[in-house]
Amino acid sequence: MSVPPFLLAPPRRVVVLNPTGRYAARQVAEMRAAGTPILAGIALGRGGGMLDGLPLLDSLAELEEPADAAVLYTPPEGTGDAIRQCAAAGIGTVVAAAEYVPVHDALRAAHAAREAGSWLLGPNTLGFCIPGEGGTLLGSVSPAFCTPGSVTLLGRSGTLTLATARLLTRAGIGQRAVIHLGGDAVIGRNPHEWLAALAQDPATRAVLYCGEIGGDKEYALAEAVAAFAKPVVATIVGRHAPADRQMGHAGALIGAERETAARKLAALRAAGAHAAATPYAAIDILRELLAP
Amino acid sequence: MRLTEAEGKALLRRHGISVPRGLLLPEEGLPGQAAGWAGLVLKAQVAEGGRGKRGLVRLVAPEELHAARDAMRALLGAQGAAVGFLLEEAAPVSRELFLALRIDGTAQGIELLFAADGGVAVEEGDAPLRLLLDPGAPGLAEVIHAALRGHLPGELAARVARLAARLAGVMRAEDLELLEVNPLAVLENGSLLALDAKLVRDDAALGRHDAAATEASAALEEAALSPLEREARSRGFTLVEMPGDVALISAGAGLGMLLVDLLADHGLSAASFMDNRRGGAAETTEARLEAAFALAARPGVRAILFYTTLASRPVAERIDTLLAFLARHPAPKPLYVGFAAAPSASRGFDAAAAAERLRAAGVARLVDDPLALVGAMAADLGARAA
Repeated sequence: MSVPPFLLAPPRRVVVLNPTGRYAARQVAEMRAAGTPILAGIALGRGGGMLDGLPLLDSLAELEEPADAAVLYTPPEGTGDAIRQCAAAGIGTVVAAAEYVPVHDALRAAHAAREAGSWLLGPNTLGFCIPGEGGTLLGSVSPAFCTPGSVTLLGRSGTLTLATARLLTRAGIGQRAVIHLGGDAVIGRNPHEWLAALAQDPATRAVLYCGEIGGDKEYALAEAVAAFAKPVVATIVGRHAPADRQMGHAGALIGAERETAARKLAALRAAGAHAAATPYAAIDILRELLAP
Repeated sequence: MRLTEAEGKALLRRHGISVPRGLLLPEEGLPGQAAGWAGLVLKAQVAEGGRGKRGLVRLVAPEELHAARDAMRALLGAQGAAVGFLLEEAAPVSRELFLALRIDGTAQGIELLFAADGGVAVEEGDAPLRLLLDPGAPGLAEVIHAALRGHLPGELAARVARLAARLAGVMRAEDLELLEVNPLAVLENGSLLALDAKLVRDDAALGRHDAAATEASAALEEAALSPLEREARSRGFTLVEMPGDVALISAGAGLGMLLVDLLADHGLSAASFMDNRRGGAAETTEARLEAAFALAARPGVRAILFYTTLASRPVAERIDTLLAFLARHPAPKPLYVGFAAAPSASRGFDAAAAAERLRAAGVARLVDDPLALVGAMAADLGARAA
């Protein structure tokens, strides 16, 4: 099992695809303020120009040296292609922000990234933050919500990942990394793959997983929990969501009993995870687990 | 979007997949092309399972056709007005199979499900055979055939395998999340016919396809929404109405679901869930407030909860929007507000002054922690903690 490159060393050569839109430009400014080493923005037709002092290029191929991480603000129709371009360019970490990427595009792109050895976050992700001095921000997980420590937070929902990072910080529990995996049914790497990678990360002492209703990713996660030597605390939102209604995310729909929060939590508990009804309860458990 | 059977079958027909001859029943008369059909099956075009058990699929004689349609309309009640009726030629079926393809998001492939006993029997029979497909791989039919061989005679297994491989291509070409053929009929002459079809198209890819070809499906989906949900959709966000006593305004799916859960844990229940919608306006706060206030005007709704996390979008803008709205629309029920704003969102923002302005505008409580906010609301309303 491979490890995301950004857990081994901070990325040094970051590019941002489609950085010029209003939302993207704001995120680029935040990342630069956080110290992320962004070399260039890739914006077809804007090559030779600048975005607030950031050089713009028409193509990834125009980089003098290859990038080691890419953040994509490409619109959903183009995201699959942009991911495959990044994979073909050998970029090890790819953060694909767009929501509403067609699922067949995401399937093809996820395969391409996997085959190239790239770690793809998203589609539909806020990216990740490794808090602290020399940390990394790729995306929109505000470092102000985070504080350095030893818990790795894995979230399926962006807003919930942000809210939970903030609660952890308030509770005095620092984070090794805050990672928004992506909210879609098809994302670059599944929760169980992240867990296997974190087994090899000495800086992670415990994992907090925040999942949601719909789909079956938590069953594969449960299998991985059984083989994971560090504590895993898990919570699933949507305990009181109605069946057969899509709750925002493309995958957040209870189509069968096994997709409910109760069943997922039960499976994770049976596998050895500490199951918590809410992020608050999860934090209480973590506090006890991490007590000296 | 779930396609009606008629539109799903039209799609399959365009890809050369065999489906029964059929047409949409006009209000009056028997269309000429159906006159020579061996038998007639009338099927109400509702996007739900179990139609046969509900009396919404019937074998009919030509003279019974319109009476049968009227009986189905009566069964459907108010829903019936938006429903079309598919008239098909009955087929000489010797065997029914079950075949489905779905996106498996975790395995990142297309999963094939097959059962040798299709139709209604599939729900009572053994678990279907499952096989993960790589639709781009060469020799896909051979791979499927190897899995089916133990379940069907060789030649039939080959026919089903070839059909399944073609359907995997249809899935991709048509951006389908699910393509279920049940029953897949084996006719007396050995050929295969998709007697029923359930197709679900990826909403994110709707723009790639001809909307006119799925007009009835879209109309059915729209008809299933409440008036407020329809209004929300037209204004660029998603609203899910629920039987509840707190009108909830939130942004972000996970945070919204957390708030729904926290309310329930405190003996309250959310009357709404909101999230962004593709192609919606960048700013929908005012439209969300309007929807929530409309819900809150109902007698069973006791309070309004407004909570949002702002990582970079300026919190001052959001509060100005809220204050301007409140100036025009006093809250019909007590309003509880919370913001989790990162420093970059709060730059140049005077939180104390904003809190004072919100209180002056009638906000019952301003608390930045979701649990504390819901707890305060429950205490005020006298709700019992679960």
